[in-house]
Amino acid sequence: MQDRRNFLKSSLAAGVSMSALPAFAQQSGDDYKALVCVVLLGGIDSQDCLVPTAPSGYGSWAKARSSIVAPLKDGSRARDGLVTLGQSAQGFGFVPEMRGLADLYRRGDLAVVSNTGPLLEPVTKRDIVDKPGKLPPRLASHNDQQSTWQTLAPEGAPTGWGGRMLDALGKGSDLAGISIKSNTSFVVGQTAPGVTVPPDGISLPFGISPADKKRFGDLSDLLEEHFRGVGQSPDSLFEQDVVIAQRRAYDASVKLAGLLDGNTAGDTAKIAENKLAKQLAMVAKMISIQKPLGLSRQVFAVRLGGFDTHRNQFEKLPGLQRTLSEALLAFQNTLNSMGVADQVTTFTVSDFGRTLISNASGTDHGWGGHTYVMGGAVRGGRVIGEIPPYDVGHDLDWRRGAMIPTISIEQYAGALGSWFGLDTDGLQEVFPNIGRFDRNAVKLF
Amino acid sequence: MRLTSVLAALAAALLSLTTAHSAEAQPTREEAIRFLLQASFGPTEPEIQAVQRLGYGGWIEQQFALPGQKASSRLAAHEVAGANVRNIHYRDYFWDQAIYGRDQLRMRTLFALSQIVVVSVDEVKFIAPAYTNYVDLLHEESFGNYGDLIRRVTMLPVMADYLTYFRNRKANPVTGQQPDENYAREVMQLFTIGLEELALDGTSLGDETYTSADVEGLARVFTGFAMDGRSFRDGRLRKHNGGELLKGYPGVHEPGPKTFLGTTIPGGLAPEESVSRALDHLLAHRNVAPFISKLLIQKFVTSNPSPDYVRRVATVFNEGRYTMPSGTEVGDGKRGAMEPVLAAILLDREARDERVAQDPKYGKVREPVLRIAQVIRTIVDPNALPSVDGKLPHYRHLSRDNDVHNQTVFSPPSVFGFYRPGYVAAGTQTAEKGLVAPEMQVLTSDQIIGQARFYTILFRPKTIAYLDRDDARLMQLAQRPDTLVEALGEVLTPGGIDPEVRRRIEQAVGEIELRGRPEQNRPRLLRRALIATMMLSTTPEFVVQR
Repeated sequence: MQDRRNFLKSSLAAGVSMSALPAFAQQSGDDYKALVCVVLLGGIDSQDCLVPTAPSGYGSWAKARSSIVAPLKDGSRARDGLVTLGQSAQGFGFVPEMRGLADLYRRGDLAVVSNTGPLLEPVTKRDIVDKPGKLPPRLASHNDQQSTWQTLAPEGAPTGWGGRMLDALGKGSDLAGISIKSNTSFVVGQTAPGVTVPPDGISLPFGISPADKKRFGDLSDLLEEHFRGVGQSPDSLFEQDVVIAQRRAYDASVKLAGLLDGNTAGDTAKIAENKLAKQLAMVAKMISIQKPLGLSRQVFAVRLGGFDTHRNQFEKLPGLQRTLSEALLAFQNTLNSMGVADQVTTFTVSDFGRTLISNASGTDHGWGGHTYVMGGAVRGGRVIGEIPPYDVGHDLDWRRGAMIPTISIEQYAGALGSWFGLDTDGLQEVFPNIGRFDRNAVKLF
Repeated sequence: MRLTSVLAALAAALLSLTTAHSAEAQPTREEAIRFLLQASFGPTEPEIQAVQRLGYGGWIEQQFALPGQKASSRLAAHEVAGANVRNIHYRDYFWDQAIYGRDQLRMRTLFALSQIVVVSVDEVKFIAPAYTNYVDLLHEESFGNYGDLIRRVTMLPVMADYLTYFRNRKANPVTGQQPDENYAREVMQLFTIGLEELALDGTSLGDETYTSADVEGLARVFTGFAMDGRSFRDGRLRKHNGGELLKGYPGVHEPGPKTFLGTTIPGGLAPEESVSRALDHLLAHRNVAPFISKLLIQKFVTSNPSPDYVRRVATVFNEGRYTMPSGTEVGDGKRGAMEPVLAAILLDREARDERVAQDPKYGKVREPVLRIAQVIRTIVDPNALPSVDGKLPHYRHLSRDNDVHNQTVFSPPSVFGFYRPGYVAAGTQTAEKGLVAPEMQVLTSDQIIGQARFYTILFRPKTIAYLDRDDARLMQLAQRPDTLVEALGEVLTPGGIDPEVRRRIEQAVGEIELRGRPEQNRPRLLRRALIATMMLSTTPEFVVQR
């Protein structure tokens, strides 16, 4: 990124106007686009989301994980309970809790990108047995794989690929990268510092609300100067970071609270007791104010935890799947009614897929997993790539039936990046290893 | 019911009799305050004086000698008083000890360990008394031995429940079912050796410590554990047996050899014996000392310790001994002894020498709980003591599971804690310099705004019901803005703050005008104290510990 920054600096020094800067952007006018990254923490069990519907495939799947399938007495993993998707789905159907995703798929708003994960280069089982050096670093480690999916590097990476895309497009700014609730590295770039927004609405600093201002008078001004760290430039790097973080929190809260006052956009995306839906409703609200914010590109991150189902998977996973599925459906319907469905693309990432072979009542850490991409611009109703057999002993069986990815994160992210407006050079800058993989394998739009 | 300050004074007097003569120079008042920011939940007048009187080493030795109060004894009294024990009471216990306890170093260590060897109270079943054993264990091993903590915590049903090896089974050749790998992985990654081979100074040697085959091998060890019962299936965790340890069932334990990290635990051993040998092997790994030492340094002193600092502490970790400035030797010579490690961390020149602290890369962002605790300790009666009997005082806004602080004690969002020790705060100055800033991970916009607002709660009239707020002192100080800011600033920001910021705070305090008779000014004086507290504790000099 240093080159890019130097470029920015020298361009400014040379008097080049800012509007000439988006060097890597395709010429596409100032239409708004947003990417919404749904982070599924813990590693969602892909092989318990899309399940084979044909008797033979279903039979070997059910046998491999009898300890999770058998205890489900309500029949939700019965073969005839699966929600079929038609020819395009390679003989796979969604589990009934994910009916909302099936609906989206059938109406063309959702695509499945199969068996995606971190790769240094395309590999099979034989390659990694012969040369362990071909394994990406820190596989199966939660924190590192969460980071890898969002930044393309293990924990400690300074920027995420969402933020880096904003950098490359010249679209970075304080409110261009937004995480709901928790800091998420995906949205952070050199020019997009990323800001966290609480899902419940913006609260203002003490003494700053319009009512307080009236009451407090000068005190309110002093508090504002204080919270914004006016005149503060400490030597300590940590103190500098704190001053900047406080100032950003203050500025973002004041600005957003003003714009969101009385805003009801996104409320239809809310679902009672659904934590993810609440976050997505806040994303919809933020999208509804993009014009006054003056932003043409934004990246968002929301999160849902609990997918690390080592034990009692049959009790835990179905509820999470329902939460995910219902939240995504409600969000897409809300975007449709807001008239921005074509401008917003939502996609999932997760730590890793899981083992096909179960333990006493759950599954363990795997590698590749299926992901979902949703939006009006998406050519939905398709499964991208080939879903490996849910079985052991084949070319893509890493261990215990966990899948060796056939689509790299770069290919997946690159497809989203092209839609977002990156040209070939921009993609190369954001995803330096993208050239190692087939660029035409993932066509989402 | 709280002990009176008379008793507190008596206790302090007794302790002063045991003062060890030390070779250390007497710390200045400012140095004592800085030390207490690292070693306690915040400096108070009695502790500042104790550090000055005893010296750093003497104060630490005094802390080692304090028995403290265990969760089990306090919660037993709570139950005798007719109350139930629920999740929230562990937090009430914590806050009572952290704010008023004399055993500050032990509770600071307990809090640090609760974030390294995590069991979330909100994600385990049948919390009491099973969770009590976990908190007691942290309490004991805070001044005990890190290896013993890992050995013992592994046999606690709450850990088995949390990291899912409770009723984990051996492989089933018919169905192909395999043992659960969760604990095998996390005990290596998070509790003992970490992901990369380390030099003694904590720097990476480049290789990963384990492969998925090692995880699979070790996973076979943690099989066949449940509660004592008629059978493995019957051995459920219930309220009545929650205080017991796990029991191994040989028939459900993996019968074959278990190979991991270059060793093989032979087949046919009792489950407990397999676990014991496996943990011995893990705890003998050369990574443990630098890995755990660095994590503890990050919790107490600085986020990016120098390799030399890590090496000095890790050496003490391995030797299990440390000679205090008084000449007294602490530690029993066993690897992982905690007292020598804590002393080595806090007495190291990288912790103590203020010139080192001038480096712009030095220090750490203080986690929300530490900041709140210190603010409270600054405004309460410094001689009050924790409650010892009756129902636990309820620390309403502190103990409630709440999102404002991003840090609910004993309830991290996952076994990875509230924030990662390797977290780099994307897009910041520290990130640009290649520094980690762990606590920045929970410094979100709503945390920043919410924590500042939270201080208003501490000054509400009703809050005094659970805090012994020292209103008399605060009102006295608040008569004059400069006196107030001076007195609070001395402990909240001992290194001083930007003069312009200080003037602004004094001016803001002065905006609350006093009028009429003194007793009519009570709300205005407390508002002054609130403004000063809130503004001082949102300065970067307060948020960052250096």
